[in-house]
Amino acid sequence: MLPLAKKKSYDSSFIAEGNERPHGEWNEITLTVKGAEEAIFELNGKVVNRITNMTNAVDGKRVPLTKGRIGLQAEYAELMYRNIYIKELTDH
Amino acid sequence: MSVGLKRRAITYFVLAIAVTILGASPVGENRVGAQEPAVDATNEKMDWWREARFGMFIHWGLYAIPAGEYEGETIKGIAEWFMSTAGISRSEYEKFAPQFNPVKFDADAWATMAKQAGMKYIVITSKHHDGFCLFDSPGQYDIVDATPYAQDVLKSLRGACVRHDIKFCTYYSILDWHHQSQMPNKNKDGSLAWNPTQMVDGQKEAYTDYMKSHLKMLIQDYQTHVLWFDGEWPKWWTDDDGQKLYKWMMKMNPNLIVNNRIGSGRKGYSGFSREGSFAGDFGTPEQEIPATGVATDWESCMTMNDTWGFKTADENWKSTETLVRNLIDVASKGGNYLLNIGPKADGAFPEASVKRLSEIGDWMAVNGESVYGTKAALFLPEWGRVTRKDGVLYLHVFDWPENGKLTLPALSNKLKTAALLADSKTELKADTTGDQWVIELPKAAADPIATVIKVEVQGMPELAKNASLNLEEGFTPLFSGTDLSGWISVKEKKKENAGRFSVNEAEKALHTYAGIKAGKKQDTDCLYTEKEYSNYVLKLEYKWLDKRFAPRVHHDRDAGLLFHLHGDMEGRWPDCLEMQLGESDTKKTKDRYVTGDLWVIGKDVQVMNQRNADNFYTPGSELVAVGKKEILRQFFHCGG
Repeated sequence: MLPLAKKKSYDSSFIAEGNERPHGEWNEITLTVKGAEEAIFELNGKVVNRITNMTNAVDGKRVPLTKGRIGLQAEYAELMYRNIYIKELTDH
Repeated sequence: MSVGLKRRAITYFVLAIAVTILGASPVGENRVGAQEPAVDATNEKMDWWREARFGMFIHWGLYAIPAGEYEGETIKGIAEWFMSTAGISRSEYEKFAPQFNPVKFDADAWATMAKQAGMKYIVITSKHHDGFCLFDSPGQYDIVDATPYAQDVLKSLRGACVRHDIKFCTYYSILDWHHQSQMPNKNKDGSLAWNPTQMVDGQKEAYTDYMKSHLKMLIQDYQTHVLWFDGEWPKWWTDDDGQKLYKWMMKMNPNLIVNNRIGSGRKGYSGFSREGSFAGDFGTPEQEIPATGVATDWESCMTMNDTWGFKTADENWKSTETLVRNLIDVASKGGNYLLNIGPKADGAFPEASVKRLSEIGDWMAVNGESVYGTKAALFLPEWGRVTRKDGVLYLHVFDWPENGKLTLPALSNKLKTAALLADSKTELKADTTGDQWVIELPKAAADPIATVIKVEVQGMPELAKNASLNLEEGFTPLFSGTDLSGWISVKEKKKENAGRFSVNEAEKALHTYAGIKAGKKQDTDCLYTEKEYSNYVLKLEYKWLDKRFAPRVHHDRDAGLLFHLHGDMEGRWPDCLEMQLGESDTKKTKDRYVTGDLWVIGKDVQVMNQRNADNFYTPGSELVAVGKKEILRQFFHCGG
């Protein structure tokens, strides 16, 4: 095993420019998740990022990452979240 | 008041948060002595106080004589701290007593000025930190026994309050620079450091008895409605002491209202903890107004200039507009506004204060009903503030819209009428068909300070569901807007003292770090759903508030929406994928956070993304693996 693997690892894809409203205004997010296939990030009506083929490594093999909990972060900045709604898709 | 401003503001907010979180339980439940039947009336006893919304604070004592001047120089800071700021001895300070002869003191005039300003109660310093009493105490260090005036001003003021239908209330300092039980430290220059005092070994019980002899008089003889404690911060005074004292007072008068400074403040801030143990009935933000609504009883005390006790040199008076708007702002967030007067040594109010009280009164005479007995708003609009009560929404317009149209989120209630509060005949047209209600206003504001629109509706005003999201059919709420059911906090689950999410009832929102002083060292928290999801559309709204916390005070604002959380749920961030929420005001490329960035969290997670050589998502670019690689090459030093 790589010694670094003990640490939490992170990797990222940035977006060139945001679509955030001015400080203090409510922003609307839509996150569409289709199992392990695809996730689309929308901010204030604009698609800002898209990922596909979500996988996890189990016993050295890559397996689809199909589901999980949904979470929100508190990370040293004061903010509010509201109107959190979900529609589960069945015809996927 | 105190130099411990920062610490105390935090104490208040911690209390506020605690009550917010405990909001589902009866209000009195986490109060001291709640087990005793007498205190079950906690809620009811607050009725008049909640209805009042506006009170007068009075800081008056021997410090009004020097009025902030010492040996020809103006002392720094607030004038009632004179003895401490000048660092002088008891015997030096006592010399002011024979000079205290407030011949212009007129209790009826004071009560009348409060009443005409629209204030419903007066809180006066019965004993400030200097230990001098404004009532005929059992001892000698008071206005009756130690001054040429030799009259009991509290007794007079109480009588005037009764005559003018004002609730008489008293401030009382636990810290006492005059009592022999307490000793000062010494500054390097030899002067005395009175804050905090040191309790002489074995003297605490005697001092507690001394306080009780005063408090018993204030409660029984002066029939004070509120005991507003202060000076609770010396180490020798504990939360347990505060709770015992609270119980002792409740036995004398279960309807007595007590502020939260009776205890030593809540110990061990713990966010979602249900271990809330504190004494007192309401929180006490000092010189500040919470950013948003707080779902508990609280009162912002504020000065008209920068001092509480009279200070000759302090001419930094706030405008009447600011004072009125502060009152509205406080009411719109569910609190009371306690506005201070520092009378002069002769007993007269400063002229600047008299003028402002009169002007506030002019506004209140017309618009008072939009303040008294109202509840916190449902939203904080850009154009002003909002209060509500059953059947009415009051829109306080500070910034008159140029296009003559005032917009607000749609209510679920049926609209009856909209009109200027100052002129009920001026009915205003309103369009209530869309996601936002639009009210047509006259061309110009009726009142430059705040024009109030009275919107009458059927029932208690509530926001229409999804008013601002315009959702299609088929969505269900993940967050109720009133509690955290369905959600788990990593930090709370681990019983760490760091849960940082609370519910803001006024905005029906989840709030991070509510009530924490900006810049204070904090930790992260992750709030995640109890259930797992696979295929879905998730919608939410977020907005940034102003505060940032150490160690990220100078970073871009940072938060995130996480999904596909799995595995060990105990870590800082469980393995998952993150849609970054970030406010990039620095345009940095390192440690930059922009809403929409992807973060892959966890050593085994991988996704594909069209990413260019600089790691930017670019449709049309090569599809690359983000996250786990054959050999992990990329380790970012901090997470999304």
